[in-house]
Amino acid sequence: MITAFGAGIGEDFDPDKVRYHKIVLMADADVDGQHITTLLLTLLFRYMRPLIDLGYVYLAQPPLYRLKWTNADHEYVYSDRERDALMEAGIAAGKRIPKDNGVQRYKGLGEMNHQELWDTTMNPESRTLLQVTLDDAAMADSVFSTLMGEDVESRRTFIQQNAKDVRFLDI
Amino acid sequence: MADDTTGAGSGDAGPLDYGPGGRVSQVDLQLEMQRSYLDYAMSVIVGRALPDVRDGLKPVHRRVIYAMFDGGYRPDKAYSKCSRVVGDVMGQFHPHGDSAIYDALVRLVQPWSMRYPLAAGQGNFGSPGNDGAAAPRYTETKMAPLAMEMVRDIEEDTVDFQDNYDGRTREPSILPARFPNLLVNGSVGIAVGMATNIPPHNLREVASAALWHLENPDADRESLLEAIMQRVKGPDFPTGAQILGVKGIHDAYRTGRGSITMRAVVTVEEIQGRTCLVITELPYQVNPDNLAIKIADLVKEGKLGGIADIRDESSGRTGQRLVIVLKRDAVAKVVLNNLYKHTQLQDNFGANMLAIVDGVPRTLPIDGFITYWVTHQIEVIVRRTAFRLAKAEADAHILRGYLKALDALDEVIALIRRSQTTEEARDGLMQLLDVDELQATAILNLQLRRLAALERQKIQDQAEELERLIADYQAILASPERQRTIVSDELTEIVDRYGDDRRTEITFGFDGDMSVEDLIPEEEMVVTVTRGGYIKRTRSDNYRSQHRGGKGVKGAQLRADDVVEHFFVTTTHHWLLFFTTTGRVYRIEDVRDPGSRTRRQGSARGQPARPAAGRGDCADPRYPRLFRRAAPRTRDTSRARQEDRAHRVRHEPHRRHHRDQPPRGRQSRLGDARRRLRRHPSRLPPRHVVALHRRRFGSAADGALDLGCDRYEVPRE
Repeated sequence: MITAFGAGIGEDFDPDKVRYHKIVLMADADVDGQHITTLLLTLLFRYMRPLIDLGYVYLAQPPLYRLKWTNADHEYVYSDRERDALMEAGIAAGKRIPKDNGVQRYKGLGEMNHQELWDTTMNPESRTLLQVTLDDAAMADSVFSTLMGEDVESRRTFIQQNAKDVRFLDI
Repeated sequence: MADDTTGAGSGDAGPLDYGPGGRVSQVDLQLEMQRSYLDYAMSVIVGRALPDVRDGLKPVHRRVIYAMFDGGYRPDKAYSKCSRVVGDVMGQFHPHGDSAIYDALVRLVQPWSMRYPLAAGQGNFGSPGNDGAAAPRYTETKMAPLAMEMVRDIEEDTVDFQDNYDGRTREPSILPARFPNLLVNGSVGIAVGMATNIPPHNLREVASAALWHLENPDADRESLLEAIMQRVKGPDFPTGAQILGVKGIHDAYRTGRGSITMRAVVTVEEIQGRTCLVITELPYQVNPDNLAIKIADLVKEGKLGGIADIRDESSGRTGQRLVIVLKRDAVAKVVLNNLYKHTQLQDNFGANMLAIVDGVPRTLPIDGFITYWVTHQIEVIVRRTAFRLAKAEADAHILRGYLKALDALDEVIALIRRSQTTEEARDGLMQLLDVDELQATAILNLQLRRLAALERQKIQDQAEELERLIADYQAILASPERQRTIVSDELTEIVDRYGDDRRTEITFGFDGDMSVEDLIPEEEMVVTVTRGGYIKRTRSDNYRSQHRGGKGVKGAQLRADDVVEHFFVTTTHHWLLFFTTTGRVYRIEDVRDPGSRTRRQGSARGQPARPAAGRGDCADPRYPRLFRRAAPRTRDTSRARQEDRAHRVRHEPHRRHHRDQPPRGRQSRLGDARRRLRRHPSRLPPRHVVALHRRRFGSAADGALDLGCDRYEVPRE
């Protein structure tokens, strides 16, 4: 990554030398993918901070499921909740889904064909990107320290306090 | 937001055109971090690394067991390749790595990991040491008979099922777990921000605690805890070994956290004329290969003495057997104590009894595990009974239809014969016999042979039997006491079949703390102190008894005009205390130093009690500093000093030896005498010294002791 970005690391990082102004983190759509994203963001925040300050860092949004309607175009959804909502809406609208293998779950990016990945995640025409912005550097810093630091107790407290915000649980 | 996608601050990079479809939203770094991390953390905590309090399984193990049950890899069938099981688990239930699944399966097989293995294995499943299992294409597996108890009654609607990861099939969200698996097999797991470590227990003990709870459902928490702790003596590790003391166990059981000291079982054997320590049982989760390497390293570094050789003689036939050959002059007990102190031969099990309760991780005392399991069992029994009741009622309903048809057999046959279609016959039957559609269809499906008179009696009997069952099921559903009795009976049955004796011995009242005395051999010896400030010790067996004409043994060879002032017998387990005329006391604990073990008394001149003269102090505060006297520096003293230093470097490599630098933190103890000496080198320190020895009492103070608070014995001179 250091070589690819071409701008060094840490103290030596020179934002003028960055070779790409769009660095897209693309990980699996499940919780392990989210974990990897947090780890990568930590690296970028701690050692290549200007990338984030300048807004060069983006997150790709690969889908989690594909709904294979038999009488309509296939739909891609990005979370369990969205899947349930779309399923309900689709069935109400008279769409049919095969009983067997009607919902495909993309556990990993590797489960997609290259064309699927292009259509859903990579095609600039149709993709959704999330640009990572930094609103409050001091707060962000303390979040990184809590989540990635050595103090287990504060991490545990954070988890307990925020456990109700979880959108879904991937088991 | 569309199109506004180029990075700010880039001078020459023109905006890129993404067309109308591309969308870029913004997300705050801090928010994204918190959200993603929380998602990950919560799913690891709830759905991956921690066991459910009811069946004691993590999802991967639950899926392995259910997939084996579902796929027909049952105890009464032949073994199947592990790859098949892993494939089933991964394809149907567990969308994660195959190696993780295989590792979980292997652990279920290994008798040294599981107190009661839940899978049976055929082939190489590794060793407790560094040998892993063979690849899954070689090994074979099926459920262990006990694992059937984990899924028993699962087909009778006893537990909830949920969609699997892709919604194509269903999996149980919990297993019926007809025995208290979490306490019995224990669990280890590291989640995010929290971890669990539950030791395994003996099935009989845990079951008897559960039975007590079933018999006394109204007992308050405190008496339940007491009753459980009376029955469950402590963890019972698959590898046996010993547990030292009960304090850690009680902490763990009362609060959910406690440190339990485990110790290997070691016997002393004479093998080919050499004394050997043979380690036959290791503490739980101690890797014997790494242990042997660690011991060898410590011996090489000189931190462990008395060991000549280490041989691992473990095998399938002998079981665990690590042989430590001792040097000829080593004291087995002392070497062993040092092994306990410095290696995993004695190890702590840090119990942290955390499990998922209603979707939330909680640290529980032991009664929590029992009550949650019992509640789960009651639910299983209630649901099973309700299921059976519904089935019995459905069957009885059909039989009642049969009986009505048999009562009016001729009309029924006539009706069927004159009906044009099945539907017409069915409708006719419903009218004729006043039965519903279900019964009418069943009557039409009757085989002709069941119209025989004897068959009629059978149907009658069946109906009566079903009525009896229905009444019974209703009684069970109405009576919590009956439900508890059923749980008790079925648990007792399991214990009778699978219960076994405790493997880990618990030694009460000893917590494994060792004092210096446990780590050095006790030897009787003679201590000689001269007025000139020399001290030495000689093993008393050097003063062998002599017969007629013996020349005697010279106790000490003295320097000119020096005299032996003190001469007494003591042992290496006593302290030497030196009282100075200024009211201070110095002590030597480990009386092996200073002195020489091997030097015979003929040549022994002793070590100078203070290695250097006029230099202020010596580096090692264990040396009695006030012995020093400003002797003229001669070649002899300097050589003695060098010898002394060489001796210390040789025997205490871990200590610091720079003579001008006392070890950190010791300076204050060097006290006034030292400073005085620095300021006035000519002033001699006190020379009148009385040496006493005493047994070690409870309280120990380093360096100067307050004379008022300790008792001393007069030396046995």
